[in-house]
Amino acid sequence: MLRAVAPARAGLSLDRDAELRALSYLGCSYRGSFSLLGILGSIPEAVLVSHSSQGCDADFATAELRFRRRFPGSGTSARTVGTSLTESDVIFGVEQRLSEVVDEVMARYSPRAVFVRAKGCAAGRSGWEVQEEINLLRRRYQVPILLARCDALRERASKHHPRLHDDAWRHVPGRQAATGTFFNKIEFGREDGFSRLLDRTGLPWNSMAIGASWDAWERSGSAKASLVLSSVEFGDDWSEMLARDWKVPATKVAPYGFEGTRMALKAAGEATCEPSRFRFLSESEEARFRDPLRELRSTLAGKRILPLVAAYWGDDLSIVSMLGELGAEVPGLGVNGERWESLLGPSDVADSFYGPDGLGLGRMGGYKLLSLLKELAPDAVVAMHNGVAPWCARLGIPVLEIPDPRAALPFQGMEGLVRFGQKLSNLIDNPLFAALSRRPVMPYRREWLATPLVRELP
Amino acid sequence: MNRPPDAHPRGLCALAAQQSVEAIGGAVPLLQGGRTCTLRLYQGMSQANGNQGVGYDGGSSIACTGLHSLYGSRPDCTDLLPNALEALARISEADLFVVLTGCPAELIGDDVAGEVRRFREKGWPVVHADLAGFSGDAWSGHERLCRALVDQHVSETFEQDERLVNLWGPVPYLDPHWEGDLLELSRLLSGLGLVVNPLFGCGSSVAAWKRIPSAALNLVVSPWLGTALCHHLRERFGTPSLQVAVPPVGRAATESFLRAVAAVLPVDPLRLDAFLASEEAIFSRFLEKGSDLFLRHDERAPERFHLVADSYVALGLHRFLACEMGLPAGVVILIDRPRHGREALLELFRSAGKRAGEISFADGTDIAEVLRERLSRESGRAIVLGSLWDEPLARELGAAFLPVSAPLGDLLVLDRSYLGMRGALRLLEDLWGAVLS
Repeated sequence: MLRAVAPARAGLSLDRDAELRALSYLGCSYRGSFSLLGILGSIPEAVLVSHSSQGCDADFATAELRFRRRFPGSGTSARTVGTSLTESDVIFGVEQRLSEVVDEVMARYSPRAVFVRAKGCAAGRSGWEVQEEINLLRRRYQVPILLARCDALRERASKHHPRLHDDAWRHVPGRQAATGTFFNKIEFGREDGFSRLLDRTGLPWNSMAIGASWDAWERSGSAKASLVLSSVEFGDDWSEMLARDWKVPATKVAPYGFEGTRMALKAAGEATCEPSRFRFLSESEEARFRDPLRELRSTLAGKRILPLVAAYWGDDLSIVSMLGELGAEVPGLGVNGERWESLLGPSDVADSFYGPDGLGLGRMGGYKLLSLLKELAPDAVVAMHNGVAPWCARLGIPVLEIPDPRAALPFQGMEGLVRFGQKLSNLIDNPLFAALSRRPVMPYRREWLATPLVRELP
Repeated sequence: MNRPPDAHPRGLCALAAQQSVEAIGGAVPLLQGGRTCTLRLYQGMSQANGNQGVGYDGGSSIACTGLHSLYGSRPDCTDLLPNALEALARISEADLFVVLTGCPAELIGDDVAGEVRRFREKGWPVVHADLAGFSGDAWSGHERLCRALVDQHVSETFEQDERLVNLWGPVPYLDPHWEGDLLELSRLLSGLGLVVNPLFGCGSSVAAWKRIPSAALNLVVSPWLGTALCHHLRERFGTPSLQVAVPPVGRAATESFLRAVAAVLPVDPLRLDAFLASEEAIFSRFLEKGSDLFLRHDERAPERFHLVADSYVALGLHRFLACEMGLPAGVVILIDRPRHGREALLELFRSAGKRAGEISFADGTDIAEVLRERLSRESGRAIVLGSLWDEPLARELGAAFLPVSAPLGDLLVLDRSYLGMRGALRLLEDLWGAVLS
């Protein structure tokens, strides 16, 4: 068993509030708003207004690229607009600027809905007046103008993702007349594999995905049930609201690996009252991928693969479970019932790497990442947060980056597990990483990298 | 409304200068602000802008004091900084710490400058730059950062090196070709026997910043950015400066650039002529090679080009395409906002004569309107040189498209540059590739 070495022994005295290497994916709640941008900015009949200074909208380009990958050749773009707050706006009032931009948006695009992604720091100083301004605008235009707050100043993404504080959100579902014979499929990830599998059941789905129409959102309150496929918190919020206010029962599934997929299909069968259709799917998928999985298990048996995945909404456990099914060893997980103790850091689940009992760095522990990697020396790393992979590569550790923690993992279903395994298999002993670590740029002191952070207990 | 809404952020915010710090070998940034800012700027300036990588100490995870709360239990946020700085120094292989303040610190009036000064007075290699996002764009942030580095890190003692040149040009990461541009300019100057002080990018170091006063010349390759800094450097160290407003793309501009430098530094004229001749021989050979395509009638060939970029990128490309390749410009939309000399800048474009096109400053949604209006009414095929944001409109209206300005989109940029004669050849390859594909 391994026990954490206390920070003082590791040679550091650190104020609890300092974050020496901020792992930005654990960042303030404005980080969480990236999923709002991707989801709401892709609704063709709506416009998302980001109420902040322009630097906060640097993610528009990333969202746009993701939109284009999703809809290649469509010639359309994500519908996003920024208020680009300046110093004078901050001094004289950010509400006026928001009002001007919404007026302009209504005149140019005549959208059926406007979402206001608020507020970055610059807008944040004005407190709740933004809500007042939005109420005024809503009365002026008689279309849903909806506020999604994400105050960088006040909250952390890990605990407080952008919530639908604005009560007006609850009036959106049910605005469309609908027959009520369909099911909501809430899927905001980048992977369609499991979703396509569901389509094979022939059931009528109301797909709430990136690029879904505003009609799909409005009729979601008339569905017989909701199936939530991704871990994006906005999907959770939406399905919870549908259940609470529109009596649409929700089932959340995590279709990762053979076991996860089996369970997800079983749950979907129960939610739709069509268990036999899903049982058939499960069996046929298993028969299709059983042999490839067996082959991968022999390749990856005993390989130590470390997931660097923040414990958001179970994504960490999904990855750990998939690695287990592939026969890999996960450093930090217990063997024969034993578990490693959490490494340093507070035991805040949402801020740690995989789970309450697994390996964790803690919210402020990002700076320990490289020392830990060097010490554990895994055969490969799966990193779920963009920008982390180059750090692994500098140490010569093979790494697979799965970007964006706020979307579904890109390896859903049994087919996804096999694809995941094939990618990992190609990582092991890949010569690229030797090349990348030949002349590494390493902004860490050697002594620090050699500092033990864990020790084995007798 | 005075300002149009911004559907397509291009100039970002002053904190974008975090990427300039990333471009200096041995410099470690420490952000006193919200850590998400780091991620967004990295996404917008590096990932979505040619996948330029993480720099010396960056990516989505730079050091941060974790200043988030203005209203919490902590009455004074400044106490975060000493602790973070001391701990960071114990783990980092850094020659310089650069403390950057974003919006929160500036909103609450946190005295970061004072705190950093106290550390500096104790001998710490640390500087501070105020980069609140709402206080300016990426160009102003870069200017402020450079000024902070010069004022707080560069000392007065130095020995003059008559071959050393400080090069001030593109903004790291914001300009997707910045590193290739610096390498090419350095190569050209080394052809004259000069040595470029590597301040940013490949081979750069904090030590190079210390050598700034030793240089014989501050060379600004930009229509406006860097001129104020060089004026300051002349006042402080007496170093002369030379501004080459038009970045050298192609034969004429490269020759003009090298002759201008040779005129103010001790360069052997024979060496200059020999170097120019060797560059020109290569350029001519490959230009001639392309002439089979350039001169053939092809309905896909552009009859004009439209350009949306900051003035640094736009000026070099415009001069080469209009004045050397004889391709008329349509509209040229400049997205940066120099504080002074806008009319002079426009004159630089207009000096291309009858092929100069219509030049204007615009931002936000106005850019698309200008471009749409022009593309809709003209006949014959055009090519749009712009950013990710301009591509859909170009495609919709039947124009070819070549990404040249930020954000570049889903491409990989390693050492690409359109500067010099060799860069011009690369530009022609890319331009015609876009036209023919």
